[in-house]
Amino acid sequence: MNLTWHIVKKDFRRLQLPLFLWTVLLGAQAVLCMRLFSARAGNAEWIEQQSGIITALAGVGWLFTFVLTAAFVLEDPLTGTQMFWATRPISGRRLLGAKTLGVLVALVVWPVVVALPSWIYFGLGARDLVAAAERIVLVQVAIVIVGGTLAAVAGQGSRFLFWMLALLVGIPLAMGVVTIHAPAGISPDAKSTRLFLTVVVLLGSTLTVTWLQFTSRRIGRSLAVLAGGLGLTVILCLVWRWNWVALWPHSHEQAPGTEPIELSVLSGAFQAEGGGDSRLVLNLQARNVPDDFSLVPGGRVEADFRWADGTTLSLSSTLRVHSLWAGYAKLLRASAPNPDKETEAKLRQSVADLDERAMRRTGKPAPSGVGQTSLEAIFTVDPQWTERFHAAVPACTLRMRVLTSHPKVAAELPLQEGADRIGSGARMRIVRYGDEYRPKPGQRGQKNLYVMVSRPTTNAFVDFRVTDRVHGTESWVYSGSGPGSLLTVGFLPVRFDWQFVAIPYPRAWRTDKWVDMPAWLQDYTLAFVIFSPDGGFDRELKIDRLPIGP
Amino acid sequence: MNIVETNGLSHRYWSEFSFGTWRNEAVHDLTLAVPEGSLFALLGANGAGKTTTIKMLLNLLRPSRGTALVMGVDSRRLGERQLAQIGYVSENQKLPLWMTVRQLLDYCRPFYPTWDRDLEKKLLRQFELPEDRKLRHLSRGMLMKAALLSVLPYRPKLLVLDEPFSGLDPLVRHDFVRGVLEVSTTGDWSVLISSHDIDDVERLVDHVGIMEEGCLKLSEPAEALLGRFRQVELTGASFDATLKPAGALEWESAGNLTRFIATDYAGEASERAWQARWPEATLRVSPLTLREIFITLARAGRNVEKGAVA
Repeated sequence: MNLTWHIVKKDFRRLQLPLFLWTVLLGAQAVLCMRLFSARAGNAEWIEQQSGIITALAGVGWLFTFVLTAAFVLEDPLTGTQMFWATRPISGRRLLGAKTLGVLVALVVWPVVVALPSWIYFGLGARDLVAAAERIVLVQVAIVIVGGTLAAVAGQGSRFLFWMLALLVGIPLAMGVVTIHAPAGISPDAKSTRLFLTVVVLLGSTLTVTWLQFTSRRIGRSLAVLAGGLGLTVILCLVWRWNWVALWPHSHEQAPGTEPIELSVLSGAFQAEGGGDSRLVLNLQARNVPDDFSLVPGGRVEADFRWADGTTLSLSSTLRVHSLWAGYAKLLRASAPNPDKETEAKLRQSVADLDERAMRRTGKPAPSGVGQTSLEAIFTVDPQWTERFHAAVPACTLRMRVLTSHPKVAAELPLQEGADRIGSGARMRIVRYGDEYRPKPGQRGQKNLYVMVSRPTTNAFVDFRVTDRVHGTESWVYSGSGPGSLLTVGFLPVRFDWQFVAIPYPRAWRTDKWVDMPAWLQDYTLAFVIFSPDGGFDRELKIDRLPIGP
Repeated sequence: MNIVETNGLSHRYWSEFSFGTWRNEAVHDLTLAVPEGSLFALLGANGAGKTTTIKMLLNLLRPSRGTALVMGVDSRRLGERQLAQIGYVSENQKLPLWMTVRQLLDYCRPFYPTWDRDLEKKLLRQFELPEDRKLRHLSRGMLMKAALLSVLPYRPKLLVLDEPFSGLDPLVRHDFVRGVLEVSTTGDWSVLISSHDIDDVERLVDHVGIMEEGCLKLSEPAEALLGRFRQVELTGASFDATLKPAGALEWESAGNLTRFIATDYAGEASERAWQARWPEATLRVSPLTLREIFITLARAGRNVEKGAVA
């Protein structure tokens, strides 16, 4: 181990300047992100500019990782007959160990160490820190494996650059060929299987090539293995159409409290898709979603369509969820310590009117009803099967895995400029508050505010809640990850949402009209609600006749 | 006991396609033995296959055919233990030029349990190398001395020097040879030195192997080789080439002077035999240098088998 570390130290000394630049690059990203979050004033243009710089730095960082990996390997080249190390008591295994150790320390662990203070600044909790570190490690390791393999077979800088350029041209070319010639209309699960297998083949062949180069330095054999791996990958992409996801071990734990949730198919319809295929869209509804739950996208659905003559078509798809907030409406609703009875009665009446109108138009209650969520499953169907669907409506069995989340209020802060809170691994700051906007005289006015939120990327969805705890008259929900988000800056495991939030003036029902109450805003709080999938449940639906519309 | 042994060693390399020939053979069927404790010179013109042979011995190249044993281990399986006892200096080796002389020594030292710090200091003084200068800023001669300095302090059992004198000035050559001799007197070690510059190795070596076009022409102790080659001058008359003794090379006759090189000189017995063959001639026998022997053999251009010559 001492000798291995001795080689690592030599490499560090050799690459001290690039490693210093690497550290500066990592530090600059962290500092820019902290500056972006804490800037006193900002506008979309400035934020966009900063975002561009940070994104560019991240890109340069990945390129740096790639090239630095090669520099580590090429410091003791593995091809040719003039290398210094090969005539010294340094075995290929020891050299591989030293290079792996050096690259891991400098390019995998070091970025985590440099980013750590900024993550703590952004309020990431222990689990988020682990997740953030995992994410950096995965990305860096992926780049290191590709760069290391390429350098191992290239043997010298100029050849490495040539291979790198070949890769830059070859990958899009191969992807183009695969896109054109890959089998159309295969299910998402078959695509997942294909992706998994190609990653396994690529990873296996690159690691094997690296091992062979370090231990035997037989370039011909290594190149043959690499070419074989790449060829097999392309063949897999071109011919694979089988779904093996069902063979994978799945977690079928049922999240407690999900038992009362009912799922039903509301309707189905065909939509045309490119390449002659069609999309069968099934609209589903979940009822009785408990108040502390939300259904989130990312679940799976497997469908068996059966016709009277015994023919069966099996398809699978991911499950989309439209109304994220429906299940946790209670969480987002303000409790009313001092309710205004007149206003509350008017609100209740308004909701009842809304539902009645919806029933008249669509035969369904208003979609944002408490405990009710819309879901969607989209299947790609070959043309010959589309004909069958149109000729005769099949029976259907749907097996679904629905993902759930327990949303949490990450931080709640008063409506004041500069207000700043950390909670649940996220941090929120009100950058600007107070611009008034009124569309027309006499119409309801609103206050505009800009919010900067940092959160771990593992928190997939965000929402905002505005609460008046004193008057309890109204609350609003804004989707922070939807179209309301002005800008998202990706800095590896931390995301930034630069959010414009328009808060309509609170209103109260007085005798026969709504009256704006701008003064009540001082009692308002702005909460940032985050949630990530933390469980799920399975359901099976048997439908005798699929309700497919024209 | 031989420190290096090869058996039918060959190396083919890919060459340009030319009338159906895809590959050339740099070394062909080489069977060679370097006795332990010897200073063995592998001589040959440029392109004779010396460097390729040495690279196969050190596992820098894979043999296409045959085997090579280095310190009793197949060259393809040389491990850290064997390499810790082998020193290799070559004009072709890419040294870590970014290091200073001091850094090079500091880097190499931990890999060798037998590293002698005192010897390192002594050689450093003797070679007059600037410790803090980067290798890339050293002259060619100094660079070769630095390379030698990085292999001598651990007193390798086998020192392999591949064209070490190429392009060096006489003073550096002297230092280099002195450095090698310095260590050779302190232990039981073997040296395999390849060179096309015979003068420099003549005073060093005790065994000689000569390669030509990938094949080993001869291999024998230097003393025996120098002993059996003689230049013979016959004066007094013109002599018929048909009377040329077996094994004689470079027979030439001009006027009443005839000259040839005997390859099987056996002292007074040979001289008596020649006098008996040409009784009217005045005989003058003089020894050859290793360089002259090498040139004679190269000129002869014959496919002399080792056994036949020996």
